[in-house]
Amino acid sequence: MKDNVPYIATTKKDLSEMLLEIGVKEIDDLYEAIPQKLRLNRDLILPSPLKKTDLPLSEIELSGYMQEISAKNKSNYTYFLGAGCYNHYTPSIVDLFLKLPKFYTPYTPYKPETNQGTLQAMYEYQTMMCRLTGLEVSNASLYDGSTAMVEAAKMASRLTGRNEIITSKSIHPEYRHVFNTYFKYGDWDIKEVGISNGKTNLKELEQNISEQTAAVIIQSPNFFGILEGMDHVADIVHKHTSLYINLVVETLSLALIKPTDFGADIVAGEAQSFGNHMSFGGPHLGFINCYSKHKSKLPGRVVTKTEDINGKTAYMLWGAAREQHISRNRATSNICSNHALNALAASIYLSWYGNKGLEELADIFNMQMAHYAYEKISKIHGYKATFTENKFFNEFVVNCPHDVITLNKKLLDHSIVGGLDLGRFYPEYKNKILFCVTEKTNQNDIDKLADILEYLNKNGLK
Amino acid sequence: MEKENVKLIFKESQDGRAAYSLPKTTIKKKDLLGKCRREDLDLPQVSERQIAGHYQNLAELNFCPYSEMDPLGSCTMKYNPPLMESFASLPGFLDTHPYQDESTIQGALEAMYFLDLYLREITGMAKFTLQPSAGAHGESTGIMIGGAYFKHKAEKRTKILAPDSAHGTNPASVANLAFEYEQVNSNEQGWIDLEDLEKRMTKDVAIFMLTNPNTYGLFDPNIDKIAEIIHNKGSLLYYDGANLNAIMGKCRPGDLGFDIVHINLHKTFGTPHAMGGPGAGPTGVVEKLKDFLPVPTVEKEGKKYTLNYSLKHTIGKVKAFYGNNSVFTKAYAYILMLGPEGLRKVSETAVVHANYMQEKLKKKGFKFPYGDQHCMHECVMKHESIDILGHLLSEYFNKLQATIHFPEPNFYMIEPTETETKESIDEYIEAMVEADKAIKDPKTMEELEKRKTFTPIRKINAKKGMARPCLIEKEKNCSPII
Repeated sequence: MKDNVPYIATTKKDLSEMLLEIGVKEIDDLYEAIPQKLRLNRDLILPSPLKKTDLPLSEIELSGYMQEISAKNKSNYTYFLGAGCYNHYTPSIVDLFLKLPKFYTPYTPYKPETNQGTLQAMYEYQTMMCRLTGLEVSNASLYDGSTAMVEAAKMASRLTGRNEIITSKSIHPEYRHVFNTYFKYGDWDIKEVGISNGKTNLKELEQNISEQTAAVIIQSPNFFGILEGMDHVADIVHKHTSLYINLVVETLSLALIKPTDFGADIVAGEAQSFGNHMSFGGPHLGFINCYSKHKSKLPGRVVTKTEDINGKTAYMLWGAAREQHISRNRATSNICSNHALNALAASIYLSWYGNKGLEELADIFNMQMAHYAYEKISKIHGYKATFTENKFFNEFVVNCPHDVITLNKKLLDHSIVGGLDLGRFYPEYKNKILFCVTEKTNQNDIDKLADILEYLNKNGLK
Repeated sequence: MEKENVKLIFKESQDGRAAYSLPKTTIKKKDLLGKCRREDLDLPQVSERQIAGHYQNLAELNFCPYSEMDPLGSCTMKYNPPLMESFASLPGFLDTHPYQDESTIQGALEAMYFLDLYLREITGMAKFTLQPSAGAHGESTGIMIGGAYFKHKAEKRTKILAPDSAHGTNPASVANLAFEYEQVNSNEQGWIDLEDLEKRMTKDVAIFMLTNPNTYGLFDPNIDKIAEIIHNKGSLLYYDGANLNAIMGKCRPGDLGFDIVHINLHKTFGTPHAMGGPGAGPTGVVEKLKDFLPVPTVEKEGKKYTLNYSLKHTIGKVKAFYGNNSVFTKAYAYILMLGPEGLRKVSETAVVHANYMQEKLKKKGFKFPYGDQHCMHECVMKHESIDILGHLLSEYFNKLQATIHFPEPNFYMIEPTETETKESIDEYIEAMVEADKAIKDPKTMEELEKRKTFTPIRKINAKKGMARPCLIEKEKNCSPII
C-alpha cells in the first residue's frame, strides 16, 4: 500500500530533517499555540459518496465516479432556454488556451514584471469590450452580471452623490433579487418601475425620477428579449442629470447595437455569451464599462499600457487607490478575486469571430433565427405572442396553452429543453414561455419544436 | 532591444482575415433594426493560426507556478492538479443550464451536496451556501447574514471590528454594506490586544472579523478568550478562511467559537487562481444562523437532490444562479482524492515547510519580527529594501516574489505551501541569500547585473503608468487622459 499523499513530495526523511532544523520533535509541537481543549483530536469524518469505497479515492476510482455523476447531468439536448445563461458555441481554441498552465495557474498580476502575458491579455480584453459598448474604460472582470449591476449602481451613487436608484421590472428577476439583497444595507432609496407591453413603463419612470436619482438601470435586451432604451429613455434620465446604466446580459447583441448610440453612461452586465460555457450557472463574466471621466469610481481591476525603465512597452494595473488592498474601507468595492480567466475566454472568442463573424453570428444565427422561430411558433394555436410591436434579439415570449412545467417535461422526452416558465418569476405571466434561439438551434430544430407543439396541441400532454 | 514583447492583436488584424466558421443557411434576412443598427464594429480580423500564436506568446510572458514555487503569503499558491480540471470540463458540468429540470442535473447537485457536507465537517459549521464567487464575496454574504440576524432580534448594531492586520477586503466589505468599521490593535506578539478588543466591544458591535492563523502567520492562542469577549456582548465572531490551509484536521473554526466562516476554495482546496479568478467563497454558519443563508441551498430528499428556496429568514441571493459550479467540481474532487488523513497532512506539511523556511532564513541572518514563535503555514520577514529584494529574485533568479508590504510596510510574507519539495524551498532560500548580499554589497550587485535576466521587461515605470493611464487601444497612440 502506498502511504504518500497526492501532490505532497515531502518524504519521512525530508520531514525529520526539517523538524531537526526547526528544533522540534514532532509536528504537533508546531501547533502549540492551539489551546489543547480546542484541538480536534480525531480524524475528520468525511463519508464517501460511494457505497463500497471510503475516502481517499485513487485517481482511477475518482475518475470513474466523476464520469458517473457528470453523466447524471444531461447536456445532450437542444436548448430553447436562455434567461440570462446562453447556450452559445465555444470554439475549441478557447477551451484549449484557458488550460495553458501559464494562464490557468498564476495569481492576480500585482507584480507587472512577472505577469506581462496576463496584463496584455486584459488590456486587449478591455479594448474589445469598449469597442463593443462604445465606452472608454472597462474593468478586467467582475463575478457576474447580477453583482455587476450592484456595483454599477453603487458607482453611480458615488459619482452623483445621490442615493436613489431606479430599476425596472423587465430586468432579470434573479438580478433584482441580488440587487434587493445588497441594497437592504445602507441608506438607499430604491424604486422599481413596472412593465408595459414587455418594456419598462416610461410614464412611470418619468413620474418617479427626480433630482435625487443617482441612476436608472434598464436592461436591454431585457429579460423578455426585447430591446429597450432606443427611444427617449436617455433623455428622461439625463434631464435630471442622473446616470443611465444600460444593463446587457446577452452581450452578443452588442454586435448590432451600440449602447452609447442611445445615451448610455455606464454599461454593465454579463458577458458569458463570449466564449464561456453555461457551466450550470457559473463561473460567468461580469463587467462594467464607463467614460474616462468616471473611471476613478470604477470597481475592479484595470490595466494600463505604459513602459518599463528602458522605454519598452509594458502593462501594469492602474488605479490601485480604488482597490481594497490599498484603500481598505474607502475602496470603491471589496472585490479582490475576480473572473480573469473568463475575460480571457471572451478575448479569444472575440478574436476568433472578428467583426464580420460576430455580426453574422448575432444577426443571422441569433436575431433572424429567433424571428423565424417566433413567426413559426406564434402561429400555432394557443401560442400567440404575448408582447407585440417590439424589437427583440434572440428571445421572445409566447402564451402557452398548457401548464409550462408539464409541457417542458414532455419536451424533454424529445431531447428538447423548452423555454423558461415565466410564471416562476412573474405570477402575472403564468402560462407564458420565454424561448431562446442561438446558433446551436438551427432551422431543423425549430421546425421540430413547432411540429411537436402542434402534435401536443392535437393529442394533449398525456 | 525590441520595443515590445508581443504585438497587440489589433496590430495583427487585416481586412479579409477571419478564424470563424458558421453553417450555411437559407434563412431570409430581414431588416429588423433599421437605423438603430451599428455599422462600426471593430474587432481584430485574424486567422486561427494567428490567434494560437498570439496567445501562446502572451502565455510565455507569464511566470508560472508550475515551474517555480509561488510563495505569495495568504494566497496559498499550491499545485493545481490538471485532473480536477478534466472533471470540470466534462460536458455534464460544462454544458448544463441552471434552469433545466432538476431531474437532469442530479450529478451537479450531488457534488454540491457533498461539498457542503465536507466543508461543514472541516470547519465545524452547521450549513454552507456555495453561492459566493470569492473570499470577499463570502465576507459580504457573512456580514449580510449577521446584519439580518440582529435585525431579526431587533438589536441595533452598526459596527464591525477587524484587527489592523486584516486583509484589505475585510474593511472594504464592511464599508460597502454601510457598517461602521473599527480597527482593533495587535499586541507585540502579533496577537489581538485583548484589552483593546474589550474596550472597543460596545453593545453596538455586530461582528468581529478575524483571520486565524492571522496574517502574521500566527495562530492566536487567546482565541478562546476572544470568543468569550465577543459572545459575552452577544456579537458574532467571523472567520476569514484565507488561512485555513494551516489547520485542516487539527482544529475547527466552529470549535474555536466562530459563528460565520468563509472558505477560499481557490486557496485551500487547490482550485487554480487563474490570473485572478474565478474562485469560490462558500460561507458557512452555525445552527442559529442557518435560516439566514442565501437561497437556494442543496438538500437531499430520499434519493433525490433538490434546490431549497424556502429558508425562513433568508437574506436573499448574492449571485444569480447557484455559484461558480466548475470551481465546486474541482474542490469536491480534490477532497475525495485527499480524504481525512490527506487533508490533515496537507496542513501539517504546509506548517512544517513554513517553519523550516523561517528557521533557515533566521539562521542566515534575516529578521523575523515574530520569529520567536512557531509560525503556521506562512512566515513574515522584515527587510528594509524589500522592493529591491523581491525584484532581484524575479529578474535574476527566476523566482516569484512573495507578498510584499503586508501586513505591514517592509514585510515579506512567505507561504511555501505543502506541495513544494524541500529542494525547491532550499533553492528559494539560497536565492534570497544571494539577492540580499547584492543589496548590501555594490560589487556583488555589479556582478549580478551582468547576469541573464528572466523577466520579459525591466522594472516597470509605475509612476508614468499611474499618472498617464492608457486603458484601451485607440486608433492613434494613446494620449494621456488626466
